[in-house]
Amino acid sequence: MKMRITNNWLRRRIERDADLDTDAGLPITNVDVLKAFVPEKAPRAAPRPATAVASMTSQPGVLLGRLLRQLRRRDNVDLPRLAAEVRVPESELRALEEGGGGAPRPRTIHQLATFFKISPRALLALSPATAERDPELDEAAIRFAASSDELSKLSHDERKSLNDFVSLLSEYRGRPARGKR
Amino acid sequence: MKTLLGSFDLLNRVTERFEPANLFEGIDEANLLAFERDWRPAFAERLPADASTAERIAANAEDAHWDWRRLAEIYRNPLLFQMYAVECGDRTQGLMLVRKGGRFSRHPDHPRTDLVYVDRLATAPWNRPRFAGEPIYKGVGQLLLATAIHLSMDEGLGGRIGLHALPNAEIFYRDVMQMTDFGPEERHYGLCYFEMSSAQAAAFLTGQNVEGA
Repeated sequence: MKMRITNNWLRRRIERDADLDTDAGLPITNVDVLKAFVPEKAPRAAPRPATAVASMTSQPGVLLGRLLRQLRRRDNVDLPRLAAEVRVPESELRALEEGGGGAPRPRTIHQLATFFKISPRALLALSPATAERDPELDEAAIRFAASSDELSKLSHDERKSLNDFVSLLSEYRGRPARGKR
Repeated sequence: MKTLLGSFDLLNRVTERFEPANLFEGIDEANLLAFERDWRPAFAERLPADASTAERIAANAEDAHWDWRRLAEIYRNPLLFQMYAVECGDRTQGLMLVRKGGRFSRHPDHPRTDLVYVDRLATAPWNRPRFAGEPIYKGVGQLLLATAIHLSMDEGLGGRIGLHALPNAEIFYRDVMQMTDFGPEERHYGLCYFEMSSAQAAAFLTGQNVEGA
């Protein structure tokens, strides 16, 4: 095969192009990958007590949904606009917010984390896909959940609680690697 | 068989100097060992041993589990598949696996025509802006993508290529490469599918397209 581009062509592209990741390809060689990318079938959500924080944090999907709703309220973004911005179907986002829909797709996590400027690891840690809980994050989530009321506009205290939690999520670097804890 | 296709300069972001890199058609044992001895440990250093795919995506190491040795065994039919490697500074800086047939264009310019499908394109972990704190070489992705376009032209496919971007690379393919974005695909685990039409490929190679990112 003959390459028709010149060294100068590549140099110009390198100088001109934004510095971004370029990796591509389907993750099809690992069973874990298949599991992670295919959303689990959502079990029919059981009725949940409105104020039972412990119950809510024992269902990470519910907490993740509440966080997403609060972030939307904070930023005044409705679901259709969010769906358009992150390019994820509105129905998938709605299911996430309602605490159903099973484990969110990794791409959905990535897109939401980018949009809301939160560490994707943190968002992931709140998702039902995470088998191992992070006690520190769960504790912060409990504090956040206890102070959030999804039925009314964000009060001053709610906004502070949300911002504190988001600040923690933004700096979250994930649970330590095994053996390094 | 590994054949040298040419020498092209990559930008060393650390020294801010260009360095010569070799582009090869075909990969050899040295490239596979480089993946196993250089890339994998670099991924492992940043990820929990039992990291899920979602955690790998969060760390921009979605492809950390790709086994290039196994891929080389599975996809060794040269009539259908081809592998490429970029080497610079005595290390493998990028790998690509392409499929030369069996995939068809969805682009409105030329629907249902054959194209080259980029099955995998991976840069070394130390070159990834969102993985490495101080990424080293820039230009590996552009060089490999240009190679796929050249292959498409040589195969009589007009430069048409298609690929599924990993989430962290969507902006690169949509805004910088200006490929047509067909959106997330349910049957491909929600990854976005991108195509470069013949016209887009020509614009890319002549430098007429301008990145928007």
